[in-house]
Amino acid sequence: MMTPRERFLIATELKEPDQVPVAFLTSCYAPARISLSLKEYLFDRQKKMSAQIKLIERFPGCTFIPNIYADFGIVPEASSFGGEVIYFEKEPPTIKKIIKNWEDVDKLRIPDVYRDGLLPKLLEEYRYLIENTPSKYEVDPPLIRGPLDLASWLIGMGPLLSGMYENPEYVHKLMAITTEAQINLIKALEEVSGGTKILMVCDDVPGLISPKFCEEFAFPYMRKIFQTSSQKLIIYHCCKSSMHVLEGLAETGIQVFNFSFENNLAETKRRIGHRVCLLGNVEPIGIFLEASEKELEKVCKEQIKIAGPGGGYVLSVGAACYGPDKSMDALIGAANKYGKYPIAIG
Amino acid sequence: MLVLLLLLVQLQDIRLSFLGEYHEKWCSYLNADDQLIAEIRNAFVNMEVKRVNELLKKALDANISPKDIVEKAFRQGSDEIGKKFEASEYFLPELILSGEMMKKALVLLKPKMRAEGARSSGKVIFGTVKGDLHDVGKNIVIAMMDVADFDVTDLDVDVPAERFVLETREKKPDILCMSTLLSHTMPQLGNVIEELKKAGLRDKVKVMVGGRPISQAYADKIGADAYGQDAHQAVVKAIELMKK
Repeated sequence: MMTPRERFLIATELKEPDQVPVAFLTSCYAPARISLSLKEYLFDRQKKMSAQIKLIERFPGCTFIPNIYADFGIVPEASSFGGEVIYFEKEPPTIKKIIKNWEDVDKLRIPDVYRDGLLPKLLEEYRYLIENTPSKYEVDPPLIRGPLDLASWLIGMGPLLSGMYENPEYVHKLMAITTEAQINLIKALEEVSGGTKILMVCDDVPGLISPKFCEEFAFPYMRKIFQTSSQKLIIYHCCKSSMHVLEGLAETGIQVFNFSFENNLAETKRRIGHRVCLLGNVEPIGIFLEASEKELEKVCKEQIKIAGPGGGYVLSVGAACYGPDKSMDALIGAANKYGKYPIAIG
Repeated sequence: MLVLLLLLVQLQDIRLSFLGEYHEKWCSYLNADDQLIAEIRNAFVNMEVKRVNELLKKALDANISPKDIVEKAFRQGSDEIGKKFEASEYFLPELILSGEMMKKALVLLKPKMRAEGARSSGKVIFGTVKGDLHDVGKNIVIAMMDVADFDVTDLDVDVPAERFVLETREKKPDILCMSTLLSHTMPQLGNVIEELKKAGLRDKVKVMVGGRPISQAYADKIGADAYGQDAHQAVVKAIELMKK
């Protein structure tokens, strides 16, 4: 019998493991394992590690992405450009944009990963986790922002997207900067770990723009990051519908795609399932958060029936969102019940 | 080969000249004002920012009715843009840019409309709830409401429940609109409604909610009066709320 991690890794090779694996994004669930505010969780590395271990122990039937990792929310990279981080007690931190006008892009400099913003803390914590995590658990690199996503934090989503029409030269300048910043961060993470197996990159923006703009402003920069990285497994997460750019995304060099619940699963499988392992895509609110276990089981059964055959599929949620334990158990239960290979759902 | 090429060029010229004639004929049926408004609408739908500004100035100099410009160029144009969005021809950048173009145009057009005696469709306050800094969807809806002649006060993002209550008490809006894009800030919508009840203001204002994770079922659950599934629907619902 395979471990959940082994199952997951076999699926990422577009093969069939013993059964359909189940995976969740750690950041959505770990803080709830300990009675701390989110801010306290983020800044107490021991308790953070303990919360992540508790999460893994509570759900032995699935894998978490990343496993044990340095979680500072979505803000470290933007903070390294000088952005002011805003913390909340219960909600994840966010960050104020730092570029007010496109001309300010000329004044931006590439951050020093060892000195600027939260990045030194992130690297220090990653080093701490590698040294101190019990050997039975895997330590993965932290999630990083994709180049457009990081750009949207620096200048704001509205100006970034309208800038594609009004200031395309400046958008390219900004993209070159965020791309180089992320490449430097990946290199630093690899240096700390001595080489890593997995890199997870989150970027919703390609789902928001036309195929033409993706070709111009997204894919060349994503390709550069993915090709520079020596990571063996690149997991790309996009919370927005990506039906209009599936093939383009698959060509950027990703191996695993965590995609939106808005994507049609059958069509996604048909179009790129032979090239990329699919991770998704249960509807997050009406189903994962609110539906009964019975309804959830029915949805999961259908998903397994559609995307399971042939392998290269991991059952998961189609967005980064919190869900109760019973919903997570329902996904794991459905994979155990219906996901054994060869899939035999009538 | 050369002959064939020349023939193709000639055919192309004939086709262009025919289209040009057709276009001229079509334009001749329109009066000069309508023609200019149609040009603004086309430039607006095609995301030609500079051209929209130039043509708008020209239309205002020619004393074309600002109400006609808003209705025939921007409202009808935004319907076209909405259809292109639904057909996946347009995406978020086009919605944002069209919102910005409308916003700039309405700064010039609204005072003239008011001077001509046009009445506001209603008073609205609008904000993204506490813990959420997303403003893209909110800004698009505000631009669309502006076109539909609502007077909208934008409370911006990360707005705490107390501020919504305070603004409701002071500004006495017809409709309070709230949006959120994040699942973990969804409960803030219900919190605001509860705070409005505690302050004795709930029956004095209609509440409309929207945002990516929100559904009609969720809006019903927290006791909102309306749910705007997208910018167009939000405007339709706001107009309906004003009739109640």
